[in-house]
Amino acid sequence: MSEETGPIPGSDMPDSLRLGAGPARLQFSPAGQVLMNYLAAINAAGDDADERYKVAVTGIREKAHDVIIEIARQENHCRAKDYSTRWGLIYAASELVHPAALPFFRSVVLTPIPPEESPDPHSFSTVAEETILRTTAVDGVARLASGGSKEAVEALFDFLDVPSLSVRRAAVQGLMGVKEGESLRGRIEERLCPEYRFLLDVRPIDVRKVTQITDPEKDLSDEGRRSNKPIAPDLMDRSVHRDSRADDHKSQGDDPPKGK
Amino acid sequence: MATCTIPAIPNKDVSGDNLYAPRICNQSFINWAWSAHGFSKKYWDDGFGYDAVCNNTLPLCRTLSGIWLLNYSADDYWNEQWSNNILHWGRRYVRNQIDDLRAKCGDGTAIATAFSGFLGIGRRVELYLGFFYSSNVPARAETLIHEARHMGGKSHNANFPSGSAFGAGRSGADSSWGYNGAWMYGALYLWWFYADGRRTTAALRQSARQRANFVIDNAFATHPGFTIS
Repeated sequence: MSEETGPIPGSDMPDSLRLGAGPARLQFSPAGQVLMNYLAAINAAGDDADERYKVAVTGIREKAHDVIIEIARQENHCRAKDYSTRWGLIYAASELVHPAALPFFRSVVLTPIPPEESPDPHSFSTVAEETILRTTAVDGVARLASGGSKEAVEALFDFLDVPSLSVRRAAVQGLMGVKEGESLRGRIEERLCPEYRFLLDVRPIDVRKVTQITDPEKDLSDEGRRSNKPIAPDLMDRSVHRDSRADDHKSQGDDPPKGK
Repeated sequence: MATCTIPAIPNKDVSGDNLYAPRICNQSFINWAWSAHGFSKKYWDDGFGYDAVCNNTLPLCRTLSGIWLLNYSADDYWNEQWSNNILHWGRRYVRNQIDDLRAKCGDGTAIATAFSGFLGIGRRVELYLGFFYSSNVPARAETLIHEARHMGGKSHNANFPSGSAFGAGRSGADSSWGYNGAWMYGALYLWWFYADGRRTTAALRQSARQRANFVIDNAFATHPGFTIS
């Protein structure tokens, strides 16, 4: 990502975007190809999406030992800031539901989170992205632990020492989620430093039980409250019920771009 | 005027761009979204995608993908009454609050900024390279919710707490879940998307769960005391 000229926050001047270099063409091993097929299927659309996903996940599970090596290799070679692709690889490892993935998960979680690189973490935080990768890996371990893996339970205990609130929270949640997890409470408490023991009281709950926004209209600005824009057009399967306002798309000064 | 370059693009299957881009490539949707969110050619031209709206390498398509997710992820998406949950009315809140949506370079990592009409800068939301290329599709929808809440006049009102990954003591946190601030709006949207999102995939819902849990853990001065089951 290069910045050829400095941005001016709040400037009314439009900016310009140039094409970067295209992606390199990669050669994959058979396990690598199975992994690529899986990544292509995890967010597939269409009537056959579920079937494609089942075939793809079966493919990676059949070659779990080779695939986890490929996952680790690709995650290692990914650009550090390609968080989306790295997340997909860690998610793939969790979908293996295989003990062979445990060393990879341990490596992800126990690798120290690099220092914040963003000048404004509220807007974008490299620590946030790295943390999300690690909590996804912790959840992969928790899945193994809930399936009865003692090694996974021990790994979750090790994660309680990682200096990250979210990693510790996910590890506690994973431990409390195993069969007879309540019996681990004392050991967890012993392992956690005092300022993090409140995590034992953090409740996993359903979204329907959490405090909602009861009057969002009140939270609108005056301009927002006066707004009367048309609703989004109906999808094809409901277009018979279309709100006629959805076609009222008078532009504010110029025409919308043309799709296909 | 700033000039920037498209960075290396993450896997578009994993980010959801290959799932959502064909959906936005519908003239009726494009016409509606363009008007309802205050896009203008001036800010979406010159490489940002005005001339190739269906190209999911470019910012306009990737932004419209976030807007599509925001608008059609409830089972009965047409039911956007305020009495429903945020998965239903989030889209209404965003379009009511955002009248001017601009693509900009930013500093290379920044995601977005809401200008709510102070300091002589007109009301608008600017989206930057981080929004287009570091965020997956659900995270882009969450950003629109977050910025719309700022446009609704709610600023952050606290410092990040001890242990927060955003940096203990830095400003930009919300005091609590009950403050109903931008972090709560964003996390609640992601949470509902995880729990009940439709026309999407299990992987994108899981990514939303991870992001929402991160916000719950780190963005409130007082931890809300719950996590996503």
